[in-house]
Amino acid sequence: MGHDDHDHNAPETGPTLRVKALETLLVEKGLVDPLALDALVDTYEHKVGPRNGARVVARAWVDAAFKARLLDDAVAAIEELGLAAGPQGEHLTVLENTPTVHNMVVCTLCSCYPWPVLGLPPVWYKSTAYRSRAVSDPRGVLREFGIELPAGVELRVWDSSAELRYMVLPMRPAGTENLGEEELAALVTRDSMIGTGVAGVPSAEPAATK
Amino acid sequence: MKTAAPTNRVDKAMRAAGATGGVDAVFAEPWEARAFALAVTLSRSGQFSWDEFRERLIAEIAQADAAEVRDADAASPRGPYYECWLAALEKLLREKALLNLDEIEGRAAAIAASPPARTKAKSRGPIKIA
Repeated sequence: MGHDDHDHNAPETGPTLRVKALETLLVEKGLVDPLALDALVDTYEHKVGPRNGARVVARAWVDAAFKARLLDDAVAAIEELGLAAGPQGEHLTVLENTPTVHNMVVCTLCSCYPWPVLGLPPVWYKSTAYRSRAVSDPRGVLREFGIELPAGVELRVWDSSAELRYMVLPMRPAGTENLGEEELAALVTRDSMIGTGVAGVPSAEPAATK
Repeated sequence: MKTAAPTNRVDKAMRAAGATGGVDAVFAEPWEARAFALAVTLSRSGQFSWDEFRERLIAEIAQADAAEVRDADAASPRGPYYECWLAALEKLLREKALLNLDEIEGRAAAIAASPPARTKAKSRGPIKIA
């Protein structure tokens, strides 16, 4: 790899400079603690992510009573697994996929997303294309994610807001009756909990790359 | 699987983002992480409510969406999401009089004028060993 002195020599510009200006001023005024910022970034980069949601899903698959509580009051149910509702999780609702109903989640206005169970949203979730087409052509979007929804399956699209965050409870894949909770959790993809994927199937390779 | 040519740049961006199969980095650049953390931290400490921030973020995104419709070629592959986030944060900080534009501009200029110490550092050769 070449020596990247180019980057170091370039004066800071654009958003990097702007954010640094805001942060240093706010720190000097005592409004933020830089260590708290570091901790928060570390949390969302390394600790909170879709593995949390996968644990919730796997538990719901093996424990019918838990599933009932999860669908009734998701915030209380995830607390049973040691997951605090925390920011952007205060109003979590879980939507169950069935052989006749497929749920898919979007935030048409910005990027509301259930952070405690899924972490921060992927790039495409925030894109103009997904936010508009999830509403105008949801079956087409699903097709791009490799899912051909049978005509008889009802597709429900849920628009998130500050007050309502959704997580999809995907269907348990066939032939997994003998798997334990941890093995089951490994089958739960992030996209299956947004409704743009199904559990047990790796995320689709986009057709455009073929 | 049947191939379907992307109909426009936006679709292509969505597919490209999907290609990472769920392991894409949370933040593309360090400044995005800092901007994210600043908004969350300030909201938690009560300097503003999350809804106040969200309203401004929605407004910035709506503006960016409109610009993208006008000029699809100008759309960046990632979209301007964290640029919108940063603009919303700065506006809110100014509205709440936590910071004003003069001090922000002044600080940015000062930082730009005093680049990091590594700039133009030339090797001084190996350390002389007695």
